[in-house]
Amino acid sequence: MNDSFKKPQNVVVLGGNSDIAFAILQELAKHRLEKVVLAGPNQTTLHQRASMVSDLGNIEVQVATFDATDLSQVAAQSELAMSLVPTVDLLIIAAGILGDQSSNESDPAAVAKILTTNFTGPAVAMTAAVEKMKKQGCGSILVLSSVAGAKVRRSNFIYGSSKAGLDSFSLGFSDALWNTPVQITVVRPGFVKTKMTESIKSVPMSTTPEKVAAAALRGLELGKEIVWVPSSFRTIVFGLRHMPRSVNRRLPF
Amino acid sequence: MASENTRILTGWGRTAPGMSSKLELPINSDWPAMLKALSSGVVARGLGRSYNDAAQLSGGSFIDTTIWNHVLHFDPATGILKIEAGASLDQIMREFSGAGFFVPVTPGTRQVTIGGAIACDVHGKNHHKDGSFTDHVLSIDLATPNGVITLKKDDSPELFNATCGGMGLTGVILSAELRLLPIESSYVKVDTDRTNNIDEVMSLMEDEDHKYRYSVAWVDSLARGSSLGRAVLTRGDHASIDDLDGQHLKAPLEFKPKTIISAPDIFPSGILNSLTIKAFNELWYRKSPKKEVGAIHHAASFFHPLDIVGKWNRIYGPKGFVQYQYVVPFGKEEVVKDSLELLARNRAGSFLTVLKRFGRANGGLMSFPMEGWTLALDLPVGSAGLPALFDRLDEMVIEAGGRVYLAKDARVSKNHLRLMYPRLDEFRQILDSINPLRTLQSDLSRRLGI
Ligand SMILES: Cc1cc2nc3c(=O)[nH]c(=O)nc-3n(C[C@H](O)[C@H](O)[C@H](O)COP(=O)(O)OP(=O)(O)OC[C@H]3O[C@@H](n4cnc5c(N)ncnc54)[C@H](O)[C@@H]3O)c2cc1C
Repeated sequence: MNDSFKKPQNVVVLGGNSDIAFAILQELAKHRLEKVVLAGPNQTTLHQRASMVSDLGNIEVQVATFDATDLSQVAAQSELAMSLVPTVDLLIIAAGILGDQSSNESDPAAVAKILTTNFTGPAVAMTAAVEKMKKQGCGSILVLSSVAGAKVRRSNFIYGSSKAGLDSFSLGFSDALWNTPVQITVVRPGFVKTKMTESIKSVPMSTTPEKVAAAALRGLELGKEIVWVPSSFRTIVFGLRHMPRSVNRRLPF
Repeated sequence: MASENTRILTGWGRTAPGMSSKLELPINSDWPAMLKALSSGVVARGLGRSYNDAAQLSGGSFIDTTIWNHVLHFDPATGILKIEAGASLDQIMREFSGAGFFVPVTPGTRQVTIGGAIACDVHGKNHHKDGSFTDHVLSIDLATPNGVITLKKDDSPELFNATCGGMGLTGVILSAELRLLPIESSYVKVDTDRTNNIDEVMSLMEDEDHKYRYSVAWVDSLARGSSLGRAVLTRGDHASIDDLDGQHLKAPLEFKPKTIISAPDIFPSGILNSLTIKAFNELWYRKSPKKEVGAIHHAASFFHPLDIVGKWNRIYGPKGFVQYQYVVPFGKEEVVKDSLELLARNRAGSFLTVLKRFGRANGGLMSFPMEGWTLALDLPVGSAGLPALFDRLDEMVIEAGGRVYLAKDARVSKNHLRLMYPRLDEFRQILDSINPLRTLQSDLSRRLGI
């Protein structure tokens, strides 16, 4: 169950190997966390992650299969993962890949993979999760989106558009669930230093998984629909959205 | 989700919402069959005045008990009343004050049902004299998965003591027999003392509470330094006819209070912040007399000042608020001081902070009251660090040998619960026999693993 501060006892992570999801679990372990399901495609890395999570305290961790690209299985896999806990108090949607913009631009298969992993698969899973939460009468979903999806740019439009899709889908669902006890919070971090981004040179205003985790959980507690990390991105993206396309096209980042 | 019987429920604090299906069942249902058919679980819900998740079951059903509100029997010679469990204390006061009777114990609102008052074993301002609600209950009719049982304190002490304060987990309370208090008037004769700090108010209470049936101190949670814990202490007893004059003698037993307004649902969260709460506390403190003796107040305004505004919980805004009430044994006065200090230091302004003294505990396995000091706070959800602050308070309370009140709990941990309620295992064992499948459960019982 969630307590009055939305501190969950049972958490399911889709994309269980995510650094940001781990930072969130680390924070939740200081509160009421008891049971965690880590679901993802690679069981070996998940098991490593699972032992890190159980080391956080007296936490029971299970692993499950979740392959966002396998659209015929995504719904069933998410349902199975969610059935491993008594109630899904919090579902974290953390599945995602970054890809390599310049080489992927000419690779249809790579585009399909990124869009499926980051948008279609998670959207299907979210649909299953919302159904489950309606039945259990409550629950929260944290969606790890990105600033890159809030304003899609030339330099990063494959990843960006996949997150834009997920982001809009989530907010649409949030509207549909307005005033019900099922809550969706969309987190839009900027550049986060994680293993996913380790090949890339750090950029200004970059943030850390810990900061994203803290902001996300605070947003959850306050019932926010959108959380920017750092919060100044809200204004920056507002500015970018009003820039002429001719300028936008030439942005150096 | 949108079936027509589905309701979104929260407690009075408006946090942690959940959807449950509403059931309106005849009081003489075939209870064993009915309860067994409810495989996803069920909880009884009275007027929903518990503060958080005790009277809801997300994904399950709740039984609306407020349709059971008939008086079954009343004996004016003894004051013994048998009444259905969904009747409210408000109803009893309205119906029986004319005959010269008052409820033996009333919480800070009279909008609570008999079932809720028993399940939470509620207390009032007279615990130091009269104990808690179930000390005045003679018998309880309880529907369980095994059948309907009549519980009497002497004949079935185990189940009686598990049901009093048992948060509705032993069964559905259908009706109860209780002893009302004879009164000569609906007025209370009140002495007020405004004190400069916590030491002053605590020593006044220690020295003189025994002279009064009712005693409560309202504490300014944001005063610091030498004013830490300054308070307005009000104490009194039911006024006799001789205490009254003029106006009050026209209809001395009349009890017809009105709800003047209902707060609209327009307040954003954050209106009650440390600044506005400070201003309110300052005002309240200043407007109280330094010392006043023998003032005559109507029982409704003395016991239930908040009931004048309907739905006043809305002023906290949609994020809601958390009540926190603890008790620590006498001799642990420093915990009261330290906790006020901790709140003031963290600028965690509590809108209503109330200090009382409890007398002896009763046999209720999960009953909250025990001999000592009890402090109740309410804090709006929203300020960062509140969860950790409450955890810290829990630790202080446990170290002192105290506990928190489940009717108000929104967040205690399972580990802490075990340390606070030493008879929890005994209670669980009784549930294992009377409610083995936990057909009766609530979001609270699931959250706390009861
Ligand atoms: C403004 C305010 C002031 C308060 N002041 C005090 C105070 O001074 N002292 C105090 O002790 N409490 C106080 N309370 C708390 C309140 O008295 C209790 O929570 C009380 O139980 C509420 O009664 P209810 O009918 O609303 O119960 P609900 O909130 O509906 O239910 C509370 C619990 O009782 C169970 N229950 C209800 N009916 C039945 C039944 N028929 N059979 C089995 N279980 C049942 C529910 O399952 C739940 O666990 C206050 C609350 C408010 C809002």
